[in-house]
Amino acid sequence: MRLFVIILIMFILLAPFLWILLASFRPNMELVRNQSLIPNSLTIENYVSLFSKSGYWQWIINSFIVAMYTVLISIPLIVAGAYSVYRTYFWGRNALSLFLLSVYIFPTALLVVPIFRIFNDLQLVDSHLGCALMNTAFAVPFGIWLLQAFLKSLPPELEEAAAVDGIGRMRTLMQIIIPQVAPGIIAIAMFAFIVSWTEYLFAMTLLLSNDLHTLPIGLTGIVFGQYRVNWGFAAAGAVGSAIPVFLLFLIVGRWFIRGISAGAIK
Amino acid sequence: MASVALKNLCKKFGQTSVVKDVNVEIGDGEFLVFVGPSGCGKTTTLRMVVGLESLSEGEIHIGNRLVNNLPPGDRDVAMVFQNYALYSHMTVSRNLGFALKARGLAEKEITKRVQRVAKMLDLEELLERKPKQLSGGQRQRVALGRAVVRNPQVFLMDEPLSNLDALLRLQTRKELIELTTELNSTVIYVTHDQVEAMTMGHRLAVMNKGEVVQLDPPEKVFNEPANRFVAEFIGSPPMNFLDVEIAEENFQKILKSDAFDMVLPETWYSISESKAILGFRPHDARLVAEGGVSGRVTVVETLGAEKLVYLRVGKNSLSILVPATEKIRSGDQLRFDLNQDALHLFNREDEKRMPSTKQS
Ligand SMILES: Nc1ncnc2c1ncn2[C@@H]1O[C@H](COP(=O)(O)OP(=O)(O)OP(=O)(O)O)[C@@H](O)[C@H]1O
Ligand SMILES: [Mg+2]
Repeated sequence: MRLFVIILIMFILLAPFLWILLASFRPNMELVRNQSLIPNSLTIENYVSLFSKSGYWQWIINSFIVAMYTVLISIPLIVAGAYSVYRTYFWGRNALSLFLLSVYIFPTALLVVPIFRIFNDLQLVDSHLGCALMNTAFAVPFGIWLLQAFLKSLPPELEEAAAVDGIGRMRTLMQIIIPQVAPGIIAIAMFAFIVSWTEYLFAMTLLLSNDLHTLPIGLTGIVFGQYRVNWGFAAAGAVGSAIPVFLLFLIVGRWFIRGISAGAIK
Repeated sequence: MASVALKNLCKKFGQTSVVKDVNVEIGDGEFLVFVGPSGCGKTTTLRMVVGLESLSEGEIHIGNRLVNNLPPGDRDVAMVFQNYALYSHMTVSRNLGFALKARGLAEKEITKRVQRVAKMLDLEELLERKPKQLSGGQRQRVALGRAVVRNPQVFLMDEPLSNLDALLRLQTRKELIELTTELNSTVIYVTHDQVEAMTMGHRLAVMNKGEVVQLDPPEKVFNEPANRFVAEFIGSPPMNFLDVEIAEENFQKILKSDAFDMVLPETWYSISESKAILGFRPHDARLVAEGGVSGRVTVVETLGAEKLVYLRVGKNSLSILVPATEKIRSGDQLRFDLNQDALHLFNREDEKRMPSTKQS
């Protein structure tokens, strides 16, 4: 019975992915005409055109650059922010930590025009860095909130012991606190990476030149072709953009779990 | 090593006073134990000494420095925490050397000191392990080593043995006594375990509700408790108490309770009160065939070599220790006598000890 429920839930969760995976191997015409789930014929034509006839590799590289910028900029901000909100005491601290998440209540579409104008003045339009800064703005508040939970799980005696031993604040943060919450920081880095990897709206607005386009923009461009939507191609694109992330998780995730079981509190 | 002086130490959290006017001087090389029930302010006092908690009032001197406004790292004290607070991502040897490294000692000197401490505490085999791969007792020794390696002026320890099982606690207690004696350390030690306090302390500061109620060597705390609270808290099984009246008949002072009368030894003749609380420890009673105090047995607990017998005497429930060979069952009627030299009298109003002339 329990097994059945698990299988059912897995199926509900995985079905869309399976469908996309299947669809990516079906000719477009079949997808348009025939709605059945079982394919009549399989083809790798979608992948051939994705890999060789589109800008796929360039987009991957661009996406990767933007995501790495995002991670590299947001992690120091998140660590510094979470540590100060969690550990230092200043007026308005609680209000600030509540206010953090309110960044997310604005519909992002409302921000597009003002952001474009500001970034234009700062000469950040049409640059990967500008795009990464925008992603950073979305990753940091939630990241701080997450990391704070990790920090709160540390016994306060750890810092107190360091204070009694005459170890300075910066050294305590870098050599005691950060190693203790390393699994959390890695998880948050993955989160920031994905925020950036899947971001569409601001990349679309800020990246004007074709050769700077990231995966989501590039794929949309070719999927919504001039005359009709190419579903098979879209599915292949979706798989093609998920696979790098999947591989990354496979590598980092294993390290991540080892981190949790080796580090930990006691 | 240095002496420590706590003068008029007070701590308030908001409106509540947690530590009230604590005055204690700890000599160079002395092992002083703060002991008292849970929540009486021991940890708070210790944290003020180390600098993790600010003072509401008072002064703390370490050696000849007033340290009130020094941050913990500048007070030259080392602390052993109850949960050890080891840096779990570092090996034992890095845990031991970390504070020295942060102070900029040369690598060679650090290795030398770490080696010496590891040898002293029997950690040599464990230097490359992480804390997670150690047993509770081994972690405790690492925590101790981390304090010893710094060679501080004062050691502060907050219930460092309470996470160990009973047998290991006994053994570690002995090792800790040996180590601190050998190093001639000044130690301020906090515990709620009165046995630990009695065995380790050169002097005890018994705390209750934020105040130090008695500051004396263990024997004196045991033999001449300053008030009823100390008498009850120190010693196991705990002291018996019963209300008595003191009458004068034929130039003798007589203790009268609801169930028995007893002639007071001459050493008490200086007291003038007519009412008191009589206290005696269970092991100061002795079974007798006739005379003495009579009571009916309610419960018998076997403790090994001895039995703890609970009796109903008049309206009071008392306990006495008897050799385990005595055959006693509940319901039996017993007679016992009290050791005249081991009686304690406490004032009924303020529960303070009434002085006898023998002790002064
Ligand atoms: N940060 C704080 N804010 C408010 N009250 C506190 C704080 N820290 C401790 N207290 C209170 O102060 C009192 C003394 O606490 P303390 O930790 O010193 O007791 P203790 O003697 O060490 O007890 P235990 O044997 O249980 O460790 C307690 O009543 C506690 O609730
Ligand atoms: Mg405590």
